[in-house]
Amino acid sequence: MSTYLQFAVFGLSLGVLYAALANGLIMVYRATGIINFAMGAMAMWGGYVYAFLRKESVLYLPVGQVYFPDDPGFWLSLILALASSVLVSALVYFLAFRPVRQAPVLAQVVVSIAVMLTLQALALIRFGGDTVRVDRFLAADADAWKIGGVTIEPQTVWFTVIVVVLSALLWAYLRFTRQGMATRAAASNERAAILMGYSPSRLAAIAMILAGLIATVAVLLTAPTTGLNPVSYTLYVVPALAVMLVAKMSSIGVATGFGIALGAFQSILAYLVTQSWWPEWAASGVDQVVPLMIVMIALLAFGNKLPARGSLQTMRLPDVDIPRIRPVSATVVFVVAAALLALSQDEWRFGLTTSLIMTVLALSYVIVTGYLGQISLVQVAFAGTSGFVLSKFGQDVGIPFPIVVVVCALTAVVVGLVVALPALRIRGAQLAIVTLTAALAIERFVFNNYSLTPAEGNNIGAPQLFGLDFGIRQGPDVSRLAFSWMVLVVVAVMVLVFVRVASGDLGRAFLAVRANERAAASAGIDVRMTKMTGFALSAFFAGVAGCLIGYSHGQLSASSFTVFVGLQILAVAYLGGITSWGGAVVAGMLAPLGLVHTVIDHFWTTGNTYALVAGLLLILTAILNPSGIAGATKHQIAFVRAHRGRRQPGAVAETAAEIDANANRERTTSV
Amino acid sequence: MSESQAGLHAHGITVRYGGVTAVEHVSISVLPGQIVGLIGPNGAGKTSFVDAITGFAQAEGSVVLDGRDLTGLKPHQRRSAGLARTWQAGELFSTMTIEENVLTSAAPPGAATLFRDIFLRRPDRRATVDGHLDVVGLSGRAEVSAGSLTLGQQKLVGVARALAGGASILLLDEPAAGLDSNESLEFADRMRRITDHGAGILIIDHDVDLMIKACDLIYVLEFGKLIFQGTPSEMRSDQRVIAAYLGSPIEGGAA
Repeated sequence: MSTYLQFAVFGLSLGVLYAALANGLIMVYRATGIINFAMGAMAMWGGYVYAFLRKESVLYLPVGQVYFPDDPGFWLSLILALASSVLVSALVYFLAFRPVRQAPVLAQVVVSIAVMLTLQALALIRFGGDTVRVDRFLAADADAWKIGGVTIEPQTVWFTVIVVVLSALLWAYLRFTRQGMATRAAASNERAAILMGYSPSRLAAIAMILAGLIATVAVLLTAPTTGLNPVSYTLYVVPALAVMLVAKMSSIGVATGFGIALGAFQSILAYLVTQSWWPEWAASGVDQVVPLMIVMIALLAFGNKLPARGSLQTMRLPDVDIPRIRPVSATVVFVVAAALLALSQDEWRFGLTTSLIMTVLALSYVIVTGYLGQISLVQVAFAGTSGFVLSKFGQDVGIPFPIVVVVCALTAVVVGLVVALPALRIRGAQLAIVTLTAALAIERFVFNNYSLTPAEGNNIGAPQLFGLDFGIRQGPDVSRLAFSWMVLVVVAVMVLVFVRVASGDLGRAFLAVRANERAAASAGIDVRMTKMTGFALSAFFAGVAGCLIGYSHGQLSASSFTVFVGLQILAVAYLGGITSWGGAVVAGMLAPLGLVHTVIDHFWTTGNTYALVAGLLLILTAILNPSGIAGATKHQIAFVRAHRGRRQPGAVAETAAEIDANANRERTTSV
Repeated sequence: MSESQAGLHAHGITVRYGGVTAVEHVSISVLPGQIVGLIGPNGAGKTSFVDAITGFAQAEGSVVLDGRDLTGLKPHQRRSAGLARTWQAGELFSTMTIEENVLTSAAPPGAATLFRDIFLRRPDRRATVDGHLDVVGLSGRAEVSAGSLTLGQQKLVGVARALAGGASILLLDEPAAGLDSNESLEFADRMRRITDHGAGILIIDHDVDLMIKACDLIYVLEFGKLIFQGTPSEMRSDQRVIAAYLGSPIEGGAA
């Protein structure tokens, strides 16, 4: 028993971090209505500033740095760390969150994910990817207390007390101060708050800053135990999101208590998996399965009672042009792509091929988010599942090449149907939380599980058909044309399938569900079944992409399917244009390891620059132009055509006016 | 199906929201070919009643359509069975064209839709859509974006959407609210064209002139209870209706 208690005590340090992050999330949500996926990344920044002040006597600003002659000492470092937290929070609010405060939920989710990706990439560039040791925040001079066989360091008690006190102050601010009450009021009715004489922007900025401060303090307290790492700290937001849901997105008290309890519980779990009776295959990543289960239970328990501002407004998304197949232009595109593949070689051909594969993955986002209107962050896990099955079983069972891809993609469909279940009850940002939690759980529990996926990866043999070898490598050739052409054919088929579905009865039903579930039901559409079908279809697309990714690497490695890769693909899918296959092609070009990535890598050699640029572009896109690059280009082309047409008399003028009206409508939607 | 079962028979419908009873034990029948009106002051429970029988609100009581018991079925199942409705606020799919709006209910997805969409030739449904649009007076406007219509026109598209896919009973929730008086009289004629083809209509509206001109039978709701049922001319002289809803005797009616 005392062992369990001991581990629970160990878990307190993560627990207070969860509690503080969850309180920050609640604060931001209540002030702006935005779920701040960047909470962990924002809090981590102050921690890094502190660590590098103490370690290297350098003050890192988001851009540039200030050198100190020697260690500025504890207090100055602390003050500077908190000051930079204030700076980051204010920047994020005014540059990213404020512009989308009236925008559709999808734009808000995308912006906060973009901030998360940007800050994480910035941290990687500025501070490196290795875990940084942080000196103890509170000196451990006092002796540890022993209570009934449990050792408790005084500092453990201290930092728990600090976070609880700060949380109480936050609660008191919201509950008792006029300003705090006005913050809550302003989130639900901005105009009323203005009439009361408050500036909603200032109130929201203050809330953001307070959220950032409490989270930063928690990072400073926790980092000495765990070390600072840009990936893990960014992702600590996931358990915090689970805590936030349990606290019904509003109760600071529940979030504090439950956050601390979750940390303790995870720690006990970490002890349990080392026991001999615990199955070895289930030992990895269990701590990340816990948040998923909590989220699921919380949603089952009070799914409909969660405050959901997003559900009142209908899900406004960029308009969709129903795609049509034009045989001539389709053939031209196909031939040009085939020729480009033939003319390029090595890294360029590999980049182009990867872009083609990523187009299929982006199409899965187009289906589930662009057409069906559901914000899913789990698509890359579907791809990984399929690739995983291919590497694990596809080789041995002896199913021939094209069919094995279908079979593997169908296993992704099964996972997709399970993940779709919560989507029947919830939508909007909450669905984004669930799917993100699921993606992390699958990544840690399956892909990073060394008893399932060995560190060196599972090998995937070359695809062969009719005695022809379509493998990516042969001898010195590491990017064979046969492979690229095979990919091109598969991608062409998938695009064709997409266009057929998107322009058919099912595509129309997707759009109907996206626009208005109630009206869809009254039109005879089975909303649940349509959602399930959409998730299944998108999982199938992701699954095909996963197999191709596996073939292109010759093995399955967990790093191809991390949560961050998934978020980056969502980012580029949104950048390209989330509602069209043209957008998916643009997304493919922009995707990690794709063509643009190859170009950037060729000239700057750092992958993190790519992530940073992608994140920043994504923020801009979500704010300025929700229909994405492909959508914007389409509008410009239509606009130019219409204006050219004006010179000819008569009928075309009307179309021009219509397009202007459309453009106006889109602009109002995006603000 | 026996003669008495044809049409819509809602029996003992009761809707409760928390402690409030919005609709209390209301029974209504709509026979094929009939236009039946449902009127009542604001908050009388008219829309709640329609929500209840179409499956959008939890309710007690039974709903039978053409002899088939729809009680407990989901909204889309009731729709497929032939019980179609429109909405007070239009509720069109605003990013789609009128044609696509109508097609949503003409071809809701089923088990084989995915296969059909991918592999089979598309049937040309243009004529069907035009037919439905013609009934509501919007023929030739199939390509117009639904978001650009006035509320009155949106409701007409809503009616066409309800007609498509086959409806034996139409429930129209304030379909004429966005129309001027000429258009609304025109609308009465259009409803008659629909019922001439054998469908029945239950219409909710505030326009008493329209109701008296168009309806064969009128039900009056007050505070969730039926206080009257009968022909329009009977209603005009009914003291309870005058007291509850009309406030003063109706003069002239449909002049």
